[in-house]
Amino acid sequence: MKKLLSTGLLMIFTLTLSFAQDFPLEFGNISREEIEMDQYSRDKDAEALVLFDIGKTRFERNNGSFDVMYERTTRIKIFNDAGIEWSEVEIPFYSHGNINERVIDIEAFAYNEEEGEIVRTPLNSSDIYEESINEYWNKKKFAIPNVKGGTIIEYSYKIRSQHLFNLRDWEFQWSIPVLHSEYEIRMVPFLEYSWLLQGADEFDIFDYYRDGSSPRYFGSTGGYSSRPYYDMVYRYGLRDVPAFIEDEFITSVNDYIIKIDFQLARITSIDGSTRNIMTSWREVKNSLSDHAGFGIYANRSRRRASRVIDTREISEKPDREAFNHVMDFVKENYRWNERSGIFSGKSAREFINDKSGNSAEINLFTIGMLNRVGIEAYPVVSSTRRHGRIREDFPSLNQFNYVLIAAMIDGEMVLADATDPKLKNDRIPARCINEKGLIINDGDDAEWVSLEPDFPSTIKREIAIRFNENNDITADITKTATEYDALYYRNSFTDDKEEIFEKLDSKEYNIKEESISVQNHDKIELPYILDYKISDAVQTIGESIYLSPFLNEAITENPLSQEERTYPVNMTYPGKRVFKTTINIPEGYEAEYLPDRQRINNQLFELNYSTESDNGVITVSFDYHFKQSVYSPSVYSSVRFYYDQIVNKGNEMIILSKISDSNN
Amino acid sequence: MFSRCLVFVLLILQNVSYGQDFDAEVLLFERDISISRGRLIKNSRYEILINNRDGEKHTNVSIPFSSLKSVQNINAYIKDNEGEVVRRLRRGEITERSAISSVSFYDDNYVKEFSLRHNSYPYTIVYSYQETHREFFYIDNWSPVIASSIPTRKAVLTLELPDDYIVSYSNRFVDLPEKETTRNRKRYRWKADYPEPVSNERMSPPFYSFLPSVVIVPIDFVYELEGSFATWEDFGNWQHKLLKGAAGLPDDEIRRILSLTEGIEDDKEKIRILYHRLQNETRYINVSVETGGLKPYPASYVAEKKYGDCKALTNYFKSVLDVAGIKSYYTLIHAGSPVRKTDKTFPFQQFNHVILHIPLAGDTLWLDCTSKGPFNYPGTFNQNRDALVIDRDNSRFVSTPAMTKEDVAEKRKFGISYNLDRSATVSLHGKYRGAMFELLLSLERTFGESDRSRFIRNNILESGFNMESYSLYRPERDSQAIEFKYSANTRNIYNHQGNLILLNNIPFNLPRLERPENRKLPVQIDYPVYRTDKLVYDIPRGYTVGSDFQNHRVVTDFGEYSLQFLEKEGSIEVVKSMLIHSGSYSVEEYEDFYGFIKEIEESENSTNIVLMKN
Repeated sequence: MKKLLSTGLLMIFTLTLSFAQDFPLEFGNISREEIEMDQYSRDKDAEALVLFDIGKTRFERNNGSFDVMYERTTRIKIFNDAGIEWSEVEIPFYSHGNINERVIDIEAFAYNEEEGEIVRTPLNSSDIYEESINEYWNKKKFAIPNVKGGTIIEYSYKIRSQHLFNLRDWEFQWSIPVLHSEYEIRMVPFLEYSWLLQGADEFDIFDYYRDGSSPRYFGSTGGYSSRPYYDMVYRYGLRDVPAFIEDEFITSVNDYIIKIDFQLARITSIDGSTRNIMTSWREVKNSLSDHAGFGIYANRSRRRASRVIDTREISEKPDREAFNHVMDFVKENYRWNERSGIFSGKSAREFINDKSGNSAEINLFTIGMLNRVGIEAYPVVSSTRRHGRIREDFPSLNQFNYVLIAAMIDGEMVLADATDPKLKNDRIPARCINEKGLIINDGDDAEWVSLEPDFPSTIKREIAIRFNENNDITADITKTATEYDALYYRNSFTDDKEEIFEKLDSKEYNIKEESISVQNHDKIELPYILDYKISDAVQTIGESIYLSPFLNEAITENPLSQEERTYPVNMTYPGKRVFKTTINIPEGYEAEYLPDRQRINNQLFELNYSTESDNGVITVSFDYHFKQSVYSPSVYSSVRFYYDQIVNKGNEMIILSKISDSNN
Repeated sequence: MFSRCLVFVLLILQNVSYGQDFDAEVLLFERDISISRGRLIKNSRYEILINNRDGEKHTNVSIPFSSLKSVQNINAYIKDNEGEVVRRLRRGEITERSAISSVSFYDDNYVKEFSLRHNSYPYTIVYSYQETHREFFYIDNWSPVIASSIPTRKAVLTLELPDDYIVSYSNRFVDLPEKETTRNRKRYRWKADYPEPVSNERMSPPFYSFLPSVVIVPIDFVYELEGSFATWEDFGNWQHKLLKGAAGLPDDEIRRILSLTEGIEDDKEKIRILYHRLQNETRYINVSVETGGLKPYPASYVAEKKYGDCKALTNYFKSVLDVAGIKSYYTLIHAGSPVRKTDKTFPFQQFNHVILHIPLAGDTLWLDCTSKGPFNYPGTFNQNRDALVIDRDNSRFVSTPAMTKEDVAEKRKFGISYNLDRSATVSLHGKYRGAMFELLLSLERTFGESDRSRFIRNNILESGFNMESYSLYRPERDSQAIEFKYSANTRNIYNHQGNLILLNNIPFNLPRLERPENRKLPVQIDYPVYRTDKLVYDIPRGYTVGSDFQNHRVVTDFGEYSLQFLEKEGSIEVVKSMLIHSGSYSVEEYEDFYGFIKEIEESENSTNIVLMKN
């Protein structure tokens, strides 16, 4: 739901709502009903309730430009001890470069009933602290005094900001329920914003009007050049917003919480001329191409490339080879500092000197080098999983936090990233798999590229089980992992035998440490292969042997423990698991029971299970494949059912029994 | 005893894995400390060899500072393999941020950070800086260990101070210092290394106790007030003086205390009433600036704001009890697990928590004023350790009571019924004391409903159990036990195989331990573990029991385990119990301890009951 705020075009949503509970919405005015309230009828387990949360944004003149004045007033009822944490308030603010935000006029109170009276305890200004989070962000923090179960707290503050491009999001939803949330913005005719509501379809309160009561003047007040103008006031509100419950397996809370975003779209000068800021992705694209820390940085990198590698020699190689050469070189010589970002904060020269940088510095540098050796390569701006997904109907730079590489190799586009040396050259890291990215090329239109892998990552386990004389077993296990699964093994298992032993040991069977061997750890184009030998006792009941053919290798628990789900299950990438076990039946035994075959195959999922017994050898084959990386809530129960089947088939036992002597 | 074992271990290791490749190595760590005219200045210099990409994390440098400790003259550069300086730190590359400790709401700790890298290995990062301390009551807590996972080849600590300045120090795995005197100055020099990294292991004593270190304190110091570490009594007197200025309550607070306790004769009852009020009205918020690490906020601060940290809340409650005419003692303790033994021979600030000690006629109370738990319940956090009771000219160590097996008993009863789809419905009724009581109580008290049910589903339930419902009963206020019920569905109990059903156990949760051949550290168990389970399985219609029961019992010095079966009409009852004593065991004893735990694990994990189709 995206709207452009331009006067007169907007429909008015209804204001005809009957409110179940009408509490005062005014700072300092506490009703007895609020004090006496001991639970919230729509969510009786809630530890606290936001009675109201009101935000107001207006623009104030400051030296020919505007500052954003943001004002917030919040009242919270605390029902029990678990809710007391809401009395510790933190207000983040930004301070770096031209933006110097200030938090002012903080006021906070606690209201308690004592001996029949409502007693108010103020926060002392000396109890407001400032914490520096990093070079960009700080926060004001305070703990409201005299708070216990039953207390009402309220606080208000203002933030003055020079940041006009993105206004602060207004989140209507909290992790506790909200009775009344309202956001008002007083627009000036010079700045036009587009806005986007996420997580809800419409407002309970929506209203706008021209504030004709007091004209404001732009230019020197009352002077010759000054012109009168009026604020346009827009008001958005939601009531009875349920608590946001964070689920497992989601990308980012940012993708789901109910909120409204504002993004500067157009600036109008006094003379009536307008400048579009970001009304289209095309403009976003152009602004990047011309940016010193983006397009210009990539260009400079291209120019400097010949100082660090022999560009002439490389450019004579075939595409694929030249591409690999550049990627390998960057990965080997430059380190990612674990920071995301779409802009370089350094010059290309500094980056070459420092030998480390953020994702933009590394990948834009690589793009410059690729271009220099004759490979067509473009930046792809994207958003990491933690940062949230891109909303295409809301053009804004702010949605991006990462730069990837798109290179044309033999006429085909290859996505790449040079931050992780363990990643294949034509792959992007798992943290970056998040729907799509915007390619920054010379074309006029915005072009999106899918970041979702269309190939599965596989772990294959081959298990060969032999019986020893005392009916113990020895098994050779070979694990072969490809793609993202291989990357996982390379990073977490490595090729350090001690480390691997520690990790495997948690499976609780006897691993022979000396049998551990790893192949292809450093040959990242090839699958990661891990071999080891284990010994284990088997279960015997009477004359029969019970054996789980996949030992402890299959999952034993359904990871989806909830009955229902409101958000998609996001598995990052499609995954495939293959098991193949061969068992040499010991002398004098035969297969008494082999589990049933099973087969499931549809667009979502595939599973195959089969057994075979031939010449004293039992073969058990099992594979399953989650074909998608994201499953919507509507198919949650199916996915959960598939996991049940996996757990079930993965842990079924075969029974071997003594061949009876009667035939002899 | 521990320390001797460790030295032994270190020597062995050195022989075995000499020449092993490390990701990084500290080649040299030098620190020069000097004291003149009451100012403490430390110059530190590090040379760290980075051997590969994995070692690169050691080039991320973080230097703490605060309002009492400034940092200046930060210099850093990188030398390549040829010894050539290839990169120098630029001033603009140093960033600063707050480093508020995890227990604080706010404090004035900050760090300066930077990172320097190179692209061909090996290379060496060299950095140095100076710290100046304004007020201090310890001189250094020095260790040659920069990171426990990498070795330090050489480390030197030099302390230079006026002749008449007296210090005391304690060395752990570090030789005694060389001492030198020049004109009116004296100089100590410690040399140490850390050739073979030690890694932590489960159920072991505090990790720090295995690392070399030197702690140096001044005998006489000025920290807020003049004080001394000559004896524990002296240190206690300094703490006592700090408290003196922090007593006293506003008049209407005094009036309320008196009216609450009016007419009550029994002191313990008075304390209980006032403690409940403390719990109802106050909360834990730690704000610590300057000397706030040791000096409590005054009682009037808590009376006004209704919050404070352990020092402030304890000091406040001491004042409350003073008003009620009850003598109580502010008491320093090192809380948490594993228990850290106080070095009584070395008077020094060795504590991290404050509680209240109240000797009554025929009874001794221990109150943790930050706790929302039962009255007079020191809990696993404070139990069984030395605490320094602060008393003028008579500060002394008193031991907090040890939890017995009855104090930690966890009793559970599982009713297990068979469903037509071969799953089982399990209903648990548990009654818990000890650590589990503390966990469940905090879930009940301080978690919101959605977090609580998620936590229970993921952490409390047995693995493979899908929760259907649960109830956690708010206990009587001062009860030291909590009841918990849940019902869950699982396919992990009735395991159909051909014509048989194997009945699976619901095993005790056991510690995961290193195998004896890999174990390097001794064992420390702070309080006993005592669990009793009763499982009642339905026998599905059409099945009969097809195996003999093997009752099992193990008794060792480490504890006991028993397993018993009882067949009833249509059901089977299994009763199990496990007791692990508290205790300390050497590495030599580890194999037996491991064997005991493994024997329980094997018994718990084997299928003991087979049902056959009729």
